[in-house]
Amino acid sequence: MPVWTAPVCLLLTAIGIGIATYLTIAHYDTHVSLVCAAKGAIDCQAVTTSPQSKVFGIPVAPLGLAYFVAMIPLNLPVAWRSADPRIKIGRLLYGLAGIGFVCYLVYAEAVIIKKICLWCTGVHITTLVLFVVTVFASALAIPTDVDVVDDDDDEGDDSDG
Amino acid sequence: MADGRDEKGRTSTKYAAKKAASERIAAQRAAQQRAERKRNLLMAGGGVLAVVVVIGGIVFAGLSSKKSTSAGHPVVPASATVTNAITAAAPLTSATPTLSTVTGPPKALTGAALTSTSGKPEVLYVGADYCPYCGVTRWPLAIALSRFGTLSNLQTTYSAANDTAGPNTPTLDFRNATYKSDYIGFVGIEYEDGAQKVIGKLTTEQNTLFNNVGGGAFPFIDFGGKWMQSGASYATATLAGLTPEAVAGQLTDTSSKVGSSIQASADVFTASICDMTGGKPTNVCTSAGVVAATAALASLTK
Repeated sequence: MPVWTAPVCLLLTAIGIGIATYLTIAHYDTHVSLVCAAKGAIDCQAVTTSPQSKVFGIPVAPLGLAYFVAMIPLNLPVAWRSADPRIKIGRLLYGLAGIGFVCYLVYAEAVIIKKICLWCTGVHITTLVLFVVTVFASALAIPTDVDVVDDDDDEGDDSDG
Repeated sequence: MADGRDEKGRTSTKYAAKKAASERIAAQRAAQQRAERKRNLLMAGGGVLAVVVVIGGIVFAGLSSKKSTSAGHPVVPASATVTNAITAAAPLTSATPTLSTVTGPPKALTGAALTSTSGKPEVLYVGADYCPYCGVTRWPLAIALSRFGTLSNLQTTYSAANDTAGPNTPTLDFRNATYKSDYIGFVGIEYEDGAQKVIGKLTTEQNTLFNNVGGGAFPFIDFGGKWMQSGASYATATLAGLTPEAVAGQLTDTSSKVGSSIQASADVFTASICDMTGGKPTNVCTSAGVVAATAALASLTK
């Protein structure tokens, strides 16, 4: 695993938490409005107040916050150093689930609402980059217990007979 | 011996063979790791590429379907029903304004005030006809302005039918409006029409305010450099399905959702303007609703 993996993932997670916290506060506190242009296709308020801003009655903003908070333990250096396949696969599946949700939200913005929320896009990009880093770092982490098939394994011992 | 040499220091054949075998295994293992790493990276790259293609496809689909934009509703002179209702609503202020319905309340500013040609402090409005947030915000602004002067040449229209934030929101239009007041000046700019075509023009000063202070968001209202309103002042759903005349019919009915929402916003805007005029005229700035709104604004600056 590259040494930069955990710090980069934690930094991306922190960025995600920051933006998701801002969106969550703006969602629950009507006195806090998002700093966001509302011109043409860009309109944060249209997106954050749309019916698609809730999934099964749960606002998307706190869901995103919870997603990134849960990412913290998965991206700690100790988790990245762990040889436990459950952590590695769990992290990949969790990242994949996040990407799946991002795909739905991008679909909702681009196709249903036809408005783009810049802050939400920030979260989407953060999730995507985090997923890309996770996938490549996982790919580079070669397991140390590679099972080598050695046909000549016994020859060394017996050759001198 | 442990290093594979006999008593005379010769390397034993057995040790050499063992060493060669382990080196062969190590080389084989390294090659296998390289192959596995390459395979993993290819799989990772393929997976990421697939994700990017899916997201790109969704965005492309959205952009393609966006070509069918609304042509925009016609903008027509306001009927007597509308203008009379605004005039009738202006003297009213709710004794207990429902400030809870006011979203995105004005923010205090410390910048220099724009001044009208007559030297009076100026209220600058920048909006767009297609924009539903502008649609709901024009009503209370018109009422608030009418408390300080006379607003004429109003027009009516609807926000864009394809704007999901509040399709077909009934509203006023300020593009041809004129305003006379002893206290303030008013500039109302509809920057884009219902089809998002640019029809307004901002001076350098207005453009700087709109973008740097208002973040380039419609609607933007600068209350003489004292307060700023950015975005809708109440929920767009409040006016859903109504005509301008139907909204006008409820302006003086503060027990209705429409009337109370618009009056509450009008009181907040009035309080912002009173801050510009130094509390003049007294009968407006000391009315119950405006006093309550002034207190609410003051609490925002603490």
